[in-house]
Amino acid sequence: MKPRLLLIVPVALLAGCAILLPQEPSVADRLRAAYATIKQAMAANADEFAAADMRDARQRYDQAYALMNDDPDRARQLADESQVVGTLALTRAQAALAAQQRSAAKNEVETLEQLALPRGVRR
Amino acid sequence: MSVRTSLRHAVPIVIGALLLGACAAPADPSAQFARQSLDSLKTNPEVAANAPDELAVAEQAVAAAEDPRGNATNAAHLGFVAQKRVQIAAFAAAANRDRRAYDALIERRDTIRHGNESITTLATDALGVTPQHLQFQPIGNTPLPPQPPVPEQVPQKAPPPMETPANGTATVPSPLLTLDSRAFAAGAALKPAARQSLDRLLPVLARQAQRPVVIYFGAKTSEALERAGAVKSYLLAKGLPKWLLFVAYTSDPAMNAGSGVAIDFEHGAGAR
Repeated sequence: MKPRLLLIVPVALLAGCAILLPQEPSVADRLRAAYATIKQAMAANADEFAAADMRDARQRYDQAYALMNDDPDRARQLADESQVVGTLALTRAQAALAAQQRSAAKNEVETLEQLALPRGVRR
Repeated sequence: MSVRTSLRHAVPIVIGALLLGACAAPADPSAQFARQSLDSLKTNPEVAANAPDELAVAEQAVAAAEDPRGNATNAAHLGFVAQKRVQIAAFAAAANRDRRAYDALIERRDTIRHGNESITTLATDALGVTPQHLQFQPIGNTPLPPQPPVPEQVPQKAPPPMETPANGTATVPSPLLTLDSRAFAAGAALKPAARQSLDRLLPVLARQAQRPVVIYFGAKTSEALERAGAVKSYLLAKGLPKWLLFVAYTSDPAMNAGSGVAIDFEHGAGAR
C-alpha cells in the first residue's frame, strides 16, 4: 500500500462520518426537551419532593438559554444536563409518591384485617 | 530499505494515527464514581428486576463517560450525566418496587372487601385513602400526553381597553391583563397606572406560582418589543422567577394588544 493512502484513508473516513452521520438535535430542541421534562416534574410535585434537583435543573436551563448563541456546544451540554436532572427530580418525586401510597395502603389493609377479626379479638 | 525510506513511510502512519486518536480525551474522575455506583447497584437483584430499562440507559451513559470524545469539559459533562443516570435507575427501582407492593396490598384489600363490604367502606372512609390514585408518568424521552384540542377559530375580540382585570366572567378568552400604548411613556417606560395594574396582578400570578407567564406583544416593532421587555423587567424586579417569564409575539386576536402588551399564563387564554 502506498504511504499516501495511509494518510488519505483516515481523512476520508472522518469526512465520510461527518457527512453521513445523522444530525444531532439542535440546542433549541434540547432546550425544549429540558423544558418539557421540568414541567413534567413540576406536575409530579417534584418541587416538594426534590427541591434541590429542581433548582439545579432550572439553573442549568437558564445557563443553557443564556449561552445558546455565544457558546452553542456548552449550551447543548447544559441543556442535556438540565433534562437529566429534571428526569432525576421526576423519578425522585414518583418514588416518594409510591412510598406514600404504599404506606397508606398498608395502613388500610392492616386496619381492615383488624376489623375483620372476630369480635373481641384484636391484634 | 534505507532509514530515509522508512521514515517516509512512518510519517503518514503517525499522522493518520494522530488524526484518528485526536478525538479521544481522558475520562473524568466522575466516570469512575459512576461506574462504582452502577456496579454496586447491579449487584442488587431487586434493582435489576424493577428497573432494567433505566439500568441499561445508565450503563450506556457510564460507558460513554469512560470513553469520552472531545475536551475535558465534555468528559466532565458525560461523567455528570452518567452519575445522574445511575441515581435515576436507583430511584426508578424504588418507585417500581413500591408500586408492586402497593398492587399486592390492594389485591389483599379487595380480598377482604369481598368478604365484608361494609367493613372495608368504614376503614376506607376512616383513612381517607383513594387507592386508585397512583398514576405513574413516563420517564425520560417518552412522549408527553396529548394536548387538548385547540379550537380552529378564535373568537374575534373588541379592541382592548387599557386594562382588562381578570374577573373570570368573560366568555371570550382574554389575557390576565392588557396594557395598551397609553400605559407607556416615552422610551417604553411604564406609567404609574400601569405599574399599579401590574402590582394588582402579582397576587394572581403568585396563586399559581409554578405556571409560566407570557408577555405577548402583537406588533412587530421594536417599540412593542421594548414595552414587553419593560414589563418583564418590572415583573422580574417584583420577584417573579426568570425562568417562568417569557416574551412572545402573537398573532392571536385574543392576545393582541396592538402596540401594547398582554400578560397571561402560558396556554392560559380563558383558563384560570
